[in-house]
Amino acid sequence: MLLWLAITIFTVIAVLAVVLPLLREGKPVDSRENHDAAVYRRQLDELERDREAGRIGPEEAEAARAEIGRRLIAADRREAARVAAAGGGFRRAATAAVALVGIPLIGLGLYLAQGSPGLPDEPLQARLGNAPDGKNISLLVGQVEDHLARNPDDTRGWEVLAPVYSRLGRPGDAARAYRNVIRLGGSTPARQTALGEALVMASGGIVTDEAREAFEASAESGAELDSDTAKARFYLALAMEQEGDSKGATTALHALLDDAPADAAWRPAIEETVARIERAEKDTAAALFAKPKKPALGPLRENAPSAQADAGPPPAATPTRGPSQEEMNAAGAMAPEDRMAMIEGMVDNLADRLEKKPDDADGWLQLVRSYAVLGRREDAAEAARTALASISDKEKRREIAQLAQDLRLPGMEEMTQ
Amino acid sequence: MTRKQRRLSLIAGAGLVLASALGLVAYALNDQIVFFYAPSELAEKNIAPGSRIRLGGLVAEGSVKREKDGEVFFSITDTAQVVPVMYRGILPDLFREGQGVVAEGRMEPDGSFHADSVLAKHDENYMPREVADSLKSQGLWKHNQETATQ
Amino acid sequence: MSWMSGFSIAELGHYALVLALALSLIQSTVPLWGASARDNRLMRVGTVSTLIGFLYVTFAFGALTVAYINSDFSVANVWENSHSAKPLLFKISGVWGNHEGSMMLWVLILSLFGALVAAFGGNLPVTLKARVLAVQGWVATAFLLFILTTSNPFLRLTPAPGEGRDLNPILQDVGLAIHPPLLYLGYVGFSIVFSFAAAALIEGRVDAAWARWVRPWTLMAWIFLTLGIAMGSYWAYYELGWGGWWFWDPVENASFMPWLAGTALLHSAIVMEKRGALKIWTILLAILTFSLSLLGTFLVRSGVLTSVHAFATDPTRGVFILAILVLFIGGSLALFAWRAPELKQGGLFAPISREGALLYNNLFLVAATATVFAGTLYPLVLEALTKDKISVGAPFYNITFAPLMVPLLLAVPFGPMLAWKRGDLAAAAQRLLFAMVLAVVALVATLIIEGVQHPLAPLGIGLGIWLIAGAANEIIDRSGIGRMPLKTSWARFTGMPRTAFATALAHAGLGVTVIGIVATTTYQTETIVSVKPGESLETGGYTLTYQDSVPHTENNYREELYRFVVSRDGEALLAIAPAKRFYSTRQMSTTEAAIKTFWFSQLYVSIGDQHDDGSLTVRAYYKPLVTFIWLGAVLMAIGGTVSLSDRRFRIGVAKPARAKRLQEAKA
Repeated sequence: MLLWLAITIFTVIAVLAVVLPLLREGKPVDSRENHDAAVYRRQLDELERDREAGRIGPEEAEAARAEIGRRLIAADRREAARVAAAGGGFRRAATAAVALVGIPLIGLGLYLAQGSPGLPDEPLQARLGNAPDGKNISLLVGQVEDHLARNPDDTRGWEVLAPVYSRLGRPGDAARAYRNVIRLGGSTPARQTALGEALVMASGGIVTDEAREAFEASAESGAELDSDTAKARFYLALAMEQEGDSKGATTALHALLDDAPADAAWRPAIEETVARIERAEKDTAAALFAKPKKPALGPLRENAPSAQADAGPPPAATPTRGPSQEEMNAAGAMAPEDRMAMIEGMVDNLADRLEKKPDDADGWLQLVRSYAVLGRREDAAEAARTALASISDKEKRREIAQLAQDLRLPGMEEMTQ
Repeated sequence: MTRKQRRLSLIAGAGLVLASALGLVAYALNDQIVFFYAPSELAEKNIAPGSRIRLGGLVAEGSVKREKDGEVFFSITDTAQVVPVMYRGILPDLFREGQGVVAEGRMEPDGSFHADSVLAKHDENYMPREVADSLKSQGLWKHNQETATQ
Repeated sequence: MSWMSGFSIAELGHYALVLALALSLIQSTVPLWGASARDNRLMRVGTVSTLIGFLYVTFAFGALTVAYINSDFSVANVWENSHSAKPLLFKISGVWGNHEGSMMLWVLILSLFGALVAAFGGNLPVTLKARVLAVQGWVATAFLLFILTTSNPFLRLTPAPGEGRDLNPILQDVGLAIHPPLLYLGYVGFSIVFSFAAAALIEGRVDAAWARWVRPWTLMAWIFLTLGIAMGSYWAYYELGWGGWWFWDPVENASFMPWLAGTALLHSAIVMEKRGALKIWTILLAILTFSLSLLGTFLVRSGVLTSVHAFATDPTRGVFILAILVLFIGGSLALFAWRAPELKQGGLFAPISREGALLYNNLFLVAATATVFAGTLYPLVLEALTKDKISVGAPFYNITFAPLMVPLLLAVPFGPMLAWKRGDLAAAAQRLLFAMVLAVVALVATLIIEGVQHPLAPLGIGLGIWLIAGAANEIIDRSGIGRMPLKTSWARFTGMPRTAFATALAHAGLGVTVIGIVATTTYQTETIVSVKPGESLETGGYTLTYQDSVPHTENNYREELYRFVVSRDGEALLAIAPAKRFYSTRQMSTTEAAIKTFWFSQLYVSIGDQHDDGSLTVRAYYKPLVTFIWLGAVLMAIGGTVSLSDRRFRIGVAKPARAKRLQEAKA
């Protein structure tokens, strides 16, 4: 709306720029000869100065004066003012008519041929949405990196940088940083757990051998059971589960629960995982969710105690239009049933929005993942089918089909190309 | 001098200067320009050793050897022919194996090329024009790069 | 804020650009009609539409700049040429660091000059002003059409990509921020001179008054072009990392040809203004100068050449610019052929006279322009005709351009010493004795200090001193210092017109540049060696010891700094750190030379490959008096500015004339 208003104003100004001067009689036309005469007089003055300074010989000065004088006389003679030709009314009317019709015609014609009046500006700030300082963070990280490049033995620097890397979604760098912290500052359960977590994130949710070593170092450090060592034991249990040893996993988690103080904040999360694994044991199809390939799934990560301990901004890979970080944090502090309700509510909102605006490929991807995580596999499959039908971008279609296949959604296996 | 004589003398002077400028240009264009060849043209035309030319093509994969004293050996190829090149100095930032390059210098009697300057492309959109053309004529120019070189 | 949703500055900028085209069509026609009918209102339409058109072009350019600053990647041009991590300065300079944006800058400057004439041309005869604006309008129409049809910077992308594709790191430099605007102010500035010439031909009248109006515009454009070329040369010198300051690259030639022709025009306009002679020649030069600017635009923007500067690659653009080129050059020359014979001849002069000297200058400058023209276009023509590929480089210009410059430079100090109409060469030589003695002393001194292995170099140094001393000599001679009592000579000194100082400054600047060029080319030392930490190399009497290398990270690149300590005679002077940069977005690296200035000479160090054993190839130069090259150009530009500030240019001609007529009317 505003754009069209501005376009109208601009057009009116342009037309007025032509029409207004036509309406007003200005100063009378100065005769050309007046100007010339003035210039020649100045030339005579200058010639006199040159002659005095010896810049021109006396004879030549005389000749030059004669030359200029002739031109001056000629100019004076021509000074009889010429009158404007008749027909001014027609000229003005014609010019005004051309401007009134031509300017809007050319303006809109050419503009509409190439312009996109419906598209708003999309400055980076707006697109970054809730992470307005994203650029500054990367700048700060650059400065710390720079500092560390010169002082690679600064434990404190690495310690500051490591969790920032994790939050920026650079788990590989985070792992490297934690290794440096451990190398320089010694091993502590907290550091080993953090290293292990970074490695898990870097490998897409799989507890690798390397990560397992780190968790073992933390869990077997003999330190008192706190959130760090508990987290380590939790991941070790997940590792067992990933290897198919669900029984070992639940046993380990039960042992953890036995050791845990009754008021530990992370107890509910572990209880939930135990329940999930036990459920999954009964339903092999659901075992899929024990091996999440993409830890970027917001709600899924709520199952791990790590997300509760960490209250930083989401990793860069997290789609910004899903549940916001605040909502996630709020969800983390809630009772499990409330949390599920809240997440379901948000997912339904997303589904509603996509129904109205079905060309949002990233939205669809998120919806499919969210349904899958919530165990609504039929819904996930349905969403994937709708998405494939409504997205035209080839690349995005491929991505959606791939996701559907990865999740082994019912009826979607044949979608692969 | 009359007015006419003056003008004639001016015109004669001007003609003289312009004629000498033209003469210099003609002489220099005969003598001071450098022809560009691709390795296979070099083989065809039998260029005399010692004459100054530009040689352009791709830096052959695996051919670059850097010596301690700043000497560099590499080969320029248009995939049909390969010419070994010796160069002493600092290579441009974008000199890489498999990338376009133009070397200026002289042929040695043994068929190798002694370069005294080496130009590489300045960015990924830039291929020295001569190199792009000669590769195109050989049908080696990859389509996805073509848009960048017209 | 919901009422703002959907609003787009970029779209409004696009529309403003289209409106500018519509207005330029009005500007091209209505004032011409008005001038031939002597209809004041129609002519005023030209003035107003020029001013409003300029506002719209400025708005469009501003909108594009805003898109760059905000990293609005929904604008395709921004996405292709910018990156959110780029520092603000380079986001802004990125606007004109690409084809579309640089054409926007071109048109912005074109319409700026038109607007200046519209706003401050009050002392011009109205019919001349109307015609000048109309011709300026033709040029604007052609280039606005070019932008809108082939190089539109406002095309949008949806959805907006997440991150931009960066700017070529070689171009990510302060030099780029300043260089193109200066250059464009220069060669687009000559468009006004062209418009004046075409308008005069249409009007059928060219006289002394015309030259007086044209000269300040020529000067202004020439100053910017001088600075722009010097800036570009310095930029290539420090950024490209091999220490060359002039490559006779077609892109450099593209700006050098209008400069040579513009310099000739500057001098012939003096003759025309003061003596009414050389009218036809001056008009022709004005047309040629802008034609060479257009040729330069064609060479750089069409992609006919491919080099650092030429980022344009779309052949349809080339054809379009070629059409503009043919239309304007052909059209103006046809107009010239048709109208020039009607122009009246001006004052007489002898071959040996001030006029003669200025004509001599023109002759050699035009001949030199012709050699550069031949060297630039011959390879293109040859390739088009025979498919033979050649390159024309420094050796060509050394035997064509240089020999033409020597007689010109030798004659420069004589020019201001000769009287108008008929001069006395022997008397002038006698007055230049002081400069001659100094030049010979410099020649001999150079021979003694540097020896005879470069026989031409002492001559070159002597020539430079001859120019500088000749300029000083002129000032001394005119003020009578040494010949007259101090008080008299001081009065004469302060009473001299500014143009006299301007001439002296510009000619001395030329001498300074000549000395810089000769000293650097002949006496520079170059050392290329491989060093390990702790080892040293030597160049030009300085010892550089390689210490170590340290990494450094900026927002959009990482670099490795190689630290050296510079010492002389065993005494450590300072530390320098040439670097290699790596730009991650484009996956490309650049070399950052370290340059240290000692007085007017420079130490220039750049880094080659690092070997597996930790050793490093280093290229170090000592370049004696190299800064003279650019200082001289700055002096020339200062000279131009001083001349521009001369009070004669500021006096409105129309006012006294009108006052006089009013008096007559009363009487």
